[in-house]
Amino acid sequence: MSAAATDPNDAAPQRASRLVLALLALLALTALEVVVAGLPVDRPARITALCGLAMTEALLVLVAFLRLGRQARTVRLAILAPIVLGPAFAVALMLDTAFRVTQR
Amino acid sequence: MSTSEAGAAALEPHPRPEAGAGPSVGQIGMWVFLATDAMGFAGLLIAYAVLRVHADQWPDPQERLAVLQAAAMTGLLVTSSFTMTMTVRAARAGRAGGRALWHAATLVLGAAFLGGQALEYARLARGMGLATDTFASTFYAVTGYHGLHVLVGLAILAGLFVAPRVRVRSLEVASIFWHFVDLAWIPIFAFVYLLPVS
Repeated sequence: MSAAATDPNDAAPQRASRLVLALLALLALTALEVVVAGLPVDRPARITALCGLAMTEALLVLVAFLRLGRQARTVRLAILAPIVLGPAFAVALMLDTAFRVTQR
Repeated sequence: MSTSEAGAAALEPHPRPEAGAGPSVGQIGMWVFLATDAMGFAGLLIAYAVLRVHADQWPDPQERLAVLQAAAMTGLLVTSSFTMTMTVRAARAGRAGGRALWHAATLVLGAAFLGGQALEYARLARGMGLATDTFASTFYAVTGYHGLHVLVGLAILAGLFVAPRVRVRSLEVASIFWHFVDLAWIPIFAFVYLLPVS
């Protein structure tokens, strides 16, 4: 693992324009989340959309700001496992509840 | 020493490690810490989900919480991640003035996020105490835990801002923590503030 591979901000420096794009995308995704939460559609569909948007946002932060792609594989796994598994388990519980409610 | 002088303090460029050299101890320590800390956040979110699933009634978060304010706070935190990245870039390039500017912007944005959270707590405290119901308890636990992270992050960044000499490595390690604080807020905003009940 090279030292460069552990730098979250530089190593091969990102262009500032890419960072600005990432920031704008994150702001747009946040606004979209608020819109989706208020849409008059089925609850499971809104939950799925919200989870998708949140995961996209998290991925964007990991890739653009934390530069996870440049980290060593062990670091990637150590960080990604709890970050992905926690919310994923929570989402599974929510969807399970929604399913059980519709089956009643 | 004025604040701007403090922010523009001398930068100590770290000697570039030779090819094949390992990461700094600080970076390894921060990644390991964040891996365990992420499990703490995951545990809280799972607890929130389990309690919500098993609750007979769950209030609509959008009726109790100020969702638009929380969205604005999310925007502040995300923007602070950007300014933190720019801080490190400026420090690496040896631009002390630019680094001070971006660093100050990060501090202001982080403080604004905390200010927003304090305002929200003050508004909610009138009708929703810590033990009002399960929703209130989990809300304060999850957002409070995150708020403490923001506070600690701000303290670290403020310490680096006023330090007479700053190592770029220190800024890099602090930036990892700050991005993580931003990252941890994203599922909290989606699950606690936005997830619909009907």
